[in-house]
Amino acid sequence: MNESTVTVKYINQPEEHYIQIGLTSNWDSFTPGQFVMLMPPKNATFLRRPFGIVKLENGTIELCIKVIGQGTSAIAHLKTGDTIQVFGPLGNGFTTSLQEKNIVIVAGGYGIAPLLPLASIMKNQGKNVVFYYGARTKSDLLYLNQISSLKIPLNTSTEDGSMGHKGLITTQLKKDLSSMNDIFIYAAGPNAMLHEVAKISEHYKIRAEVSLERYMACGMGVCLGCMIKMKNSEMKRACADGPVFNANDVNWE
Amino acid sequence: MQPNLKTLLGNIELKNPVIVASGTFGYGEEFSKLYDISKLGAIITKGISLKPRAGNPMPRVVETASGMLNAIGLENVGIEAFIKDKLPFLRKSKATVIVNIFGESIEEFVAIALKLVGIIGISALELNISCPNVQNGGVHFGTNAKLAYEVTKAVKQTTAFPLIVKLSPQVTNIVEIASTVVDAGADILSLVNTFPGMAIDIKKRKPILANVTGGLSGPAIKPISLKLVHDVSNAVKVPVIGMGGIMTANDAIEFMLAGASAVQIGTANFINPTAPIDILNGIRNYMVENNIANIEEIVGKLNT
Repeated sequence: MNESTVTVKYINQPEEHYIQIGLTSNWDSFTPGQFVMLMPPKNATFLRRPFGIVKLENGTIELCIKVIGQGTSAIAHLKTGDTIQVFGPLGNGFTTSLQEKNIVIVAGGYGIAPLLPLASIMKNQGKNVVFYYGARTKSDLLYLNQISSLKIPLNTSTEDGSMGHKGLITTQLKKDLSSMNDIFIYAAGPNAMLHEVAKISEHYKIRAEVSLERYMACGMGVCLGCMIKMKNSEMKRACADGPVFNANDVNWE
Repeated sequence: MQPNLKTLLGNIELKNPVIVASGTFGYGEEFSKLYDISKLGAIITKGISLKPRAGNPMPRVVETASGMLNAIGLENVGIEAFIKDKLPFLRKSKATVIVNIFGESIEEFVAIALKLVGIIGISALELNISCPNVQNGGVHFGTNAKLAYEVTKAVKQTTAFPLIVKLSPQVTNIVEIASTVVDAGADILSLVNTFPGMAIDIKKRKPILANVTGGLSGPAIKPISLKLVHDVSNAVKVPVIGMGGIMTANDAIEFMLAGASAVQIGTANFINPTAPIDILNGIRNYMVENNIANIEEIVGKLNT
């Protein structure tokens, strides 16, 4: 991990409330699931904001950001050539060496960000990968072209039925699980979805890793502001011990 | 000519006046991945209690205008695990280590100090009598002159380490408390800890922090902290370590001109992970630009 001033290479707006931002980077590599802390420009916020890393290509990292508040909105107003402070890569990413042959990836909304590079790694390892991608509405489903170019089967759902099945993606997943075996699940998205994945993991005895999103101050494990309670009552830091955890280790109450 | 940043705090000699504040630097391991932590004046550990503490429920942090509130509740590994699991790393890092200690009673403070007797690799103890986020102990000691006197005296009698007492701003007359703990044997004072504050979610009509209130830190408190450091360092004979919203070298120099012999960098560690090193370089540049040979030439040297 390092702290550096980087340049904005591009900003795309795939949907109204989302941006994909490309930033110059001197990293050698990152593990899908790791994140960065970005300092929103012009003192828009006091604390930095954490974002998942979508890819690292030719010295550029891409982040996918939902524009919701002052910080993300200030980031969205950056122009190509502007500079920004980036700290990363941070945290522990997903496990990428597995014995399971079949990989189920469950994404919710912009939770797709860390799962896209993971899907590509799994595919390259020769695993059978299948995507379950849900969101509130069609415009919250991102990177659909990239998923299709990976040639990975994609199941989608939206809560309003504007694309794919109407309802929750975990409902869809449960219907299909009976016909699958030797599976490992990776998931990132809203907490309620991850909790559901944990229940599925427990019920069907399938190993699962989830990436948790939490409000945090430092992003590196020193402020103790983003603690997650584990089933064994231990407290873990979402930023430094996670953000990826075994679904069944987390106390979801 | 290289300016001399060597800082004397009573009997402790620091490489420079830049110290990182308790609760913002863990036990040093995380930041050592970013820079050589032995370059700092000193590292103050997370507040250590007699038994491990789980801390407060979440949410524990929230940002506010020019600052943040925290109510961590002194989550820490406890003194035994600290000595066994955390201190060896700090020793190996060659950093100057100050251990911040916290007790719910005078007996607990003394018990922790006893556990540290004869332990190698520690330069001083910092007595936390100013945490606003715990039910028992904490700021209750720091706001009551009699208790502040008693706990300082009891720990001083127990330990041979230089004793720093960390003061709360939450008092009517900070000079009175400061003088009291100096009378009780404090070798050094550090001030100020966070200010009690709160933030409310108006949609839910609920406090944002699960603890309801928290400690405010960051630039929002800097002018108030600076004034308190000025007041105390003019009134006591012992060295004062200034803190409260220091984000830049300029801020640090203000505190030193106000009378602080050294400074603590806290919340800035969260905003800019290399803040203490940037501040150290900035102080050095200021000395070069202004032809200052020794750091003590700026301590308390306000033109009036």
